[in-house]
This record gives sequence, structure tokens and C-alpha cells, in this order.
Amino acid sequence: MKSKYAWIMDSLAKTSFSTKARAMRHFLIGKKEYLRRKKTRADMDSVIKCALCPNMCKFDCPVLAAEKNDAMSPSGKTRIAYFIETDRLNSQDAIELMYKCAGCDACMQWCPFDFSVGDILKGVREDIAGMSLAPPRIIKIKENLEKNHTIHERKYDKSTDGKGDVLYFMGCEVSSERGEIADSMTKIFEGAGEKYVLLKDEWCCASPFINLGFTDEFKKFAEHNVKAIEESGCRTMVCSCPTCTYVFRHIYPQFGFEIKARVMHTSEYLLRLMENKKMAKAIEKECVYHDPCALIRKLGLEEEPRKIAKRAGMKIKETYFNRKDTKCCGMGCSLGSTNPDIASKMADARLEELKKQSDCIVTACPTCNTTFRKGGVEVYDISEIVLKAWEKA
Amino acid sequence: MVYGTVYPKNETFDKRIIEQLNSIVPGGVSDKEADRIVYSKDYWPIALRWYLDGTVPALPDCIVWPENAEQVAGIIKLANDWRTPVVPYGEGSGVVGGAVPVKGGIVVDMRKMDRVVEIDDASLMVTAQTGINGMNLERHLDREGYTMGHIPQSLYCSSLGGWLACRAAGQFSTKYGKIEDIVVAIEAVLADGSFIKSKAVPRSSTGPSVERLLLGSEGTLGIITEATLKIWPYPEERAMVSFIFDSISHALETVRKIMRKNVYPAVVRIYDKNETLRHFYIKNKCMLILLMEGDKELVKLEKGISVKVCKSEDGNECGEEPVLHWLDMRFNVKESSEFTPKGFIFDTVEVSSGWKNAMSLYKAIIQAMRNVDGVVVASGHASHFYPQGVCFYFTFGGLPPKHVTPFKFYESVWDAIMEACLREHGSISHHHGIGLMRAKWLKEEMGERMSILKKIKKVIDPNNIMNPGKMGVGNEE
Repeated sequence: MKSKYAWIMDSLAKTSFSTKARAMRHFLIGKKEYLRRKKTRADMDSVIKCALCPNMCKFDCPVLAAEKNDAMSPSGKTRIAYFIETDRLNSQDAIELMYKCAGCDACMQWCPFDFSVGDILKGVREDIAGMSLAPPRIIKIKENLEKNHTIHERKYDKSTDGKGDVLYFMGCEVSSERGEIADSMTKIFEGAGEKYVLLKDEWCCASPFINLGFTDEFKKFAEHNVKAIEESGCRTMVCSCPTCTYVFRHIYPQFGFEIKARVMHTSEYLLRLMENKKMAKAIEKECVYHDPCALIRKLGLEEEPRKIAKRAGMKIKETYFNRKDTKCCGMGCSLGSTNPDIASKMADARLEELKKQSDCIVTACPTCNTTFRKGGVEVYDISEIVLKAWEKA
Repeated sequence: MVYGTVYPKNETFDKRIIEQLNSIVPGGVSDKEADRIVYSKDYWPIALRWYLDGTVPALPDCIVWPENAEQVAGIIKLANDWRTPVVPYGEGSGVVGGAVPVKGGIVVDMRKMDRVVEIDDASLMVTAQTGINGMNLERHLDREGYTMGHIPQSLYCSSLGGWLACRAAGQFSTKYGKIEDIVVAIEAVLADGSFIKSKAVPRSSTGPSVERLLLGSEGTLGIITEATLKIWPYPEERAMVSFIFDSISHALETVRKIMRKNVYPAVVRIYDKNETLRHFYIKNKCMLILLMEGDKELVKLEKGISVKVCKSEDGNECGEEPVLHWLDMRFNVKESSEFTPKGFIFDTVEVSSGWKNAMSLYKAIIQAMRNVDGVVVASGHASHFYPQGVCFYFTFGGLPPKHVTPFKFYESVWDAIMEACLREHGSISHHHGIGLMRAKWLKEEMGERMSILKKIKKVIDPNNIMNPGKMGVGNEE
């Protein structure tokens, strides 16, 4: 019979009655003293457990690797979070620290409690916003998003009229920086005879609001998006961005927003399509695949993008840190907006690693894609690969 | 600031030091409050309780991140000019308060010096800067086809510099040796800002190894900036086996006989009855796990000899599963996170003993822990073995009785363990080091050698700036 606490019971049996009584009381209700201080949005039990850990995940934290300051290690941040949440600390540098996380979940791989420090800090940021302690530049990011409905600025001017079976949700990065990805996807939809929809006024999936602790604003956007998705008449919704996919699939329901359509990432949709269509080995070259954090760690999509690239003739090389050991490009969890200097160092580190394998990078996240392009390398999105393979077939 | 500090603040710190540090390490200095709080502690378990209660152990006045040995020397020289403390910091995973800046001053975080300088395949050596994280060093070696064989439980959250400064031991140490067996050469900056460097040769009969004074000096004599260490081709074969015994003495006797045959499994661990129940869910038995790795034929031979001895000593074979379970769980450090918020105070204390006194020492320490009012858990395992003896690793946990402060309770268990250990002719630390917690016991451990250590400290660090308040070697005692 495997019992988690049998060893403690065995030890307790050898103690005096008063020790037994106190131990049992502490065991059952001891924690309340630390958890009952006030109502928080942050999960204080997780904050405390993480803060008391020897920081067993720190070696894999890309923010710590970039900044080399223990305060930016996962437990370093939650220790400070504990002091903020218990009204012991509210200095500007302590508050700023709470936004220095890429939410990449590297920590989660090594955590005995399966904590995502990124997720823990989202609750802390919500409390910070509630205490009116959010830094002005963080407020500015929120206000800009509220005003523009997109993180950057929509430059992609194509859209469709009426309803369709498939809704293509571009995401902020594609609509602003990587229109080619949207072009590839629309051509693929047309080729496949899909009746697709491109929203005229696509709003951000609202993940930055969640990242930065603004849940009311998130709900407003979610409400708008759910309505727009419903009005499109789609049965399937395809997203280029892994974060959008994750948010629609997992975060919306947490807030009571149900998307009736099936939410898919392009890697899932395109692989299925490739299996049913004739494809040519159109790009016979060596390239390296980069696993986007959200795609691999949040959605668990590991082989789909690799299979797509291989079917198109590419010879896939791997970095030492591949699949769940991937390293974040620096743009996760709005870090690119909140701390561009840290994000840039992280991007350089990952790029250096990728370039050791090849100057041609394949990835399945538009944000990673834009980030690596700045490094003067050739970067393919999986949609561009599929289009080439299909056109040459 | 609405949090307390256990050790008083350094009132003599002059803010001009920060300005001057900035000229030595441009942009690499911080006196931000959040940074100072994070660098106020290492992983000393009692400090976790303090932290939870809203108290930090001791605030440094600033943190500095040097990028090369010259900057380290510059920082130390400046600290001498101002007579301000310098506390070297690797990853802050020490468990005896060695990195707590009890006198304030400058914490020197070595993390920016984390380069692997060279791998010498012919000589099987790696040279690396000491700020490198243990797992990142091992990963670097792993991708090149090597291992260092130094795998402490803190691998993910400790640094090469920390290992050297505290004389660390890893879980695979029975085969690969402890850090002082693994290190070949070091480069260091001493307390007066001077440099020393030893040669990366396998041995040298050229007088006393002066540089080895720094191993285990815990930052009190200088800062090790670079080290050359032994490495091994990544093992081609691994064998695992486990045995159950009726008593810990029985299991210990078995391993003693294995060691006498000059057989060195990489991992040898014996758990007492309580810990066998805790880790393997088996009641009233003692588990022995063995893991051999390396050359295929050698592994086969080591396994064969070990199994034969275990069987001849009436051990019941349990196969690979317990070893796989240990491999799977060995980095899952959950207890402090789970039990500290419930008011329990936990710690682990490791000591070493010759075979002759091993069993009596084990019994004496278990009894000493149990005798302290409030102790609930008192258990132990043996995890590093030698033909000459063994390292025992004890765990205690409990609740301070009414009207007893957490620290007082904690200290009384520690005192009981230390007293019992010395009484039974053991050494008070096998690999965690001295830091704050063992400082008062070091004199009794070392006898006359302590005065030599103090004289050395005085010569190398006349201003007592290097990690003051630790190990009982400074002039503040």
C-alpha cells in the first residue's frame, strides 16, 4: 500500500501525545496562517511553494540566462511576489520584476509541482493592477491594445465578406508584420476549395491582457471575439499563432467563453491537408526547426511541423535544445513589449544556437518568425512551405 | 520597508562604494531593494521559515556582477580600501547559511563568469569559469560526449564555484570522487586582490598545494574564478540493482565488504527503515540501491561482484525498479515547500565516519534527534562510501514546542547532532560545509588545526573582508 505520508505517521507514532496533537493540528491547518491574509487573484499556495523551493528550474530559465541576476530566477521572482502580496514590499523595482518572465514554461519541465511560473505571475500582476501599482508603461501597453484592438498595427488589408466554414485567425503578428503567412494560408484555403473567412476587423485574442493582469479588458475582447467567431459561421477556426490557439482553446473556457468551432493550429490543419493532397518535394534543403514554446509546451504539438517540413523535401536538423527543451525566442508572455532589452538578448541566444545548425530556420509561430528574421537568416513559416510544395506538385 | 532582518544592518556602508564599483564593473552593480532581498539568503532551511514570517536573514548593501578575474580583483581591492565585506555568491543553494551576508557589504555574484573555456579530450579535462551553473556545465559536456560525474542533488541550482568553495560531493561520488578529487587546477583571486593559478597537470610534487586551501574555504580566503576538472567519456553502459535487508547494520556491512574488494559502484545508497518507507513504501526493511556505469565489461564485473556479496549477506534482490524510482525522483525537492508553510522545521545534516564507529554514530545521532522535544521525524541514509568509511545523511523535522522560537528549536536539534557526532568520533560535515550553522563547532572538530586556519586567514585576509562571520575563522569571534 503506497501512502505518501506513511513515513510521517510512522515517525509520529514514536512521539509524545502533545507532539502528536500539535503535529496533526499544524499538518491540517498550519498553512492557513500564511494563506488567509487577504483575498488575492494570485494562487498564494503556489507562490509560497515556489518561493520556498531551492530554485531547481533556474538553470533552464531563459530570462535568468539573459540577465544573470538571481532576482530574475523563478523562485527569486516568487519570493518577491510573496512580499508584494503580503504588503511588505511595493518598490518600483520589485513591481518591475514581476513582468520579467517570458511565460515559456521551461521551469515547468523541472518542477515537482508542475508549476508554470509564468502562470503564477499572471495572478500576481492582476493583484498589482488591482492595487494600482502597475507601472505606467504597462498601463500604456494595455491602453494601446484597447484602442487599436491589435498589439502592433494592422497592415494586412485583405478580408472576406459573408460566412464560411473555416475562419482564419491571423493574429496580431501576421496582420502587422508577416502578411505573407496570411497570403499563403488564403491561397491554400482557395486551393483546397475551403469557404474561408478573414475578419475585416480582427481583434487580438487578448492574451496580453491576461499576461499583464487586466482580466476585465480580457473579458471585453473575449466577448467581442466569441461573437465575431460565431457570426462567421465557421465550424473550424485555424490560427497561425500558437498563443492564439492556446488562448482560444484553453483560456477562453476558463473565463466562461465557449468557442463552438474547433480551434486548430495551422500545423494541425496543414498536416491533415498534406496527407490528403499531392505534394512535391519543393524545398530540398537542410534547415533547422525551432519549437515555439506555446506550441510545444502548451499545446504539445511536436511532430506536426516537422512532418510538414519533411514532406516538402526539407532535411530537418535539430538543435541540442529541441522539443520540450526548446529555448524561448524572447517574445513570450508580452516580454517583447514589457522588456524588449531582455527579449532581444534571449532572441540572440536562441538564434546563435539555431544558426549553428543552419541559416535556414523553420518555425510554426509568426512571432518567433519575425524575431529570427532580424538575425539575417532565411525563415520559413510552415504555411509557406506547404504552399510551395503544393504549387510544385 | 515592512519586513525585518535577523542580522543587523551594516550601518557603516558608504554609498560612494557603489559609485566606485560602477567604474570597475560598468552597469554591473545594483542596490535595488528587490535584488538585495533576493540576495539576502541562500538555501539555509531556517531562513525559509524566517522569510515566510516576513523576515530576511541579512541584507547586502549591493550586488555586483563581475565579468572577468580582473574585475573580481578590482572589487576585492576596493572592498579592502573601504573595509567592507565581500560575500561570493554562486547559485545560493548552500544549506548552512554560507552565502548569507551577515555583515552586509558587497555580494559578488559570479554568474556572468559562466564560460566553458576548453575541453581537452586527450587529457580528459574541462576548464570552465566558476560562475557556471552545474547542470549547464553537465549539459555542455553531455552534448560533447562527456560527463564530469559530479551530480549533487543541487545540480540544477548550484554552481561550479560553490562546489569548490564548499567541497561538494555528488550522488555518483563513490565512483567519480568528490570535487577535490575531480578538480585538477584552479585560478583564484585572493583576499588582497592578488591572483594565483595552478597547473593543469595530474600531479605535482612541488611542495604543499597552496591553491587547495581555497577548497572548502567558503569564500573566506578569496574567490575561485576558473577551474580545470576531470571528465570522462559518457558511460556506455549502466547497470542497476537493489537489495532489501532486515537492518541498516546489515546493509552497511554488505557495502563495507563490497568496498573492500576495490569495487566502486557510482551510486550506493542505503536507507534506514523510516526512509525506506518514505521513498520506496516498504515497511520495516532497509533498501540498498546500487548503480554501476562506465565500460560495458567493467560494469558487468562490478555488478557481478556486488550482487554476489549482497546475496552472501542475505540481501533480497529487488531488481532495477527501486533504482529507476530513485533516478526519477532524485531532483524532486518538495519537502521544504510542502512542510514549511505548515509550521514544520526541517533540515538535513550529513556527517562522516570510519567503519569502526559507523553503526554507533548512526544510532547516537538518531537518538540525539529524537531526544529533542518537538522532533517528529528523525531518519537517515548513507550515500557516499569508501573502503574506510561512510557518509550518513540525517533528516530531522518537527515543531518548536510552546514558548520555543523556531530558531531555538532548530539550533537545539543541530547541537544535539553535532555533540553526538563528535562524541562518536565522526566528522561534523561530509559535504554541506560549515557556513553559519556549523561555525561554532568547527573549533572542536579541528582542535589545534583551527588556530593554524585562523593564522592563514589573518595572513591572506588581514582586513577580514572575505565572507566575514563564517566558519569561525575571522577576528569577529
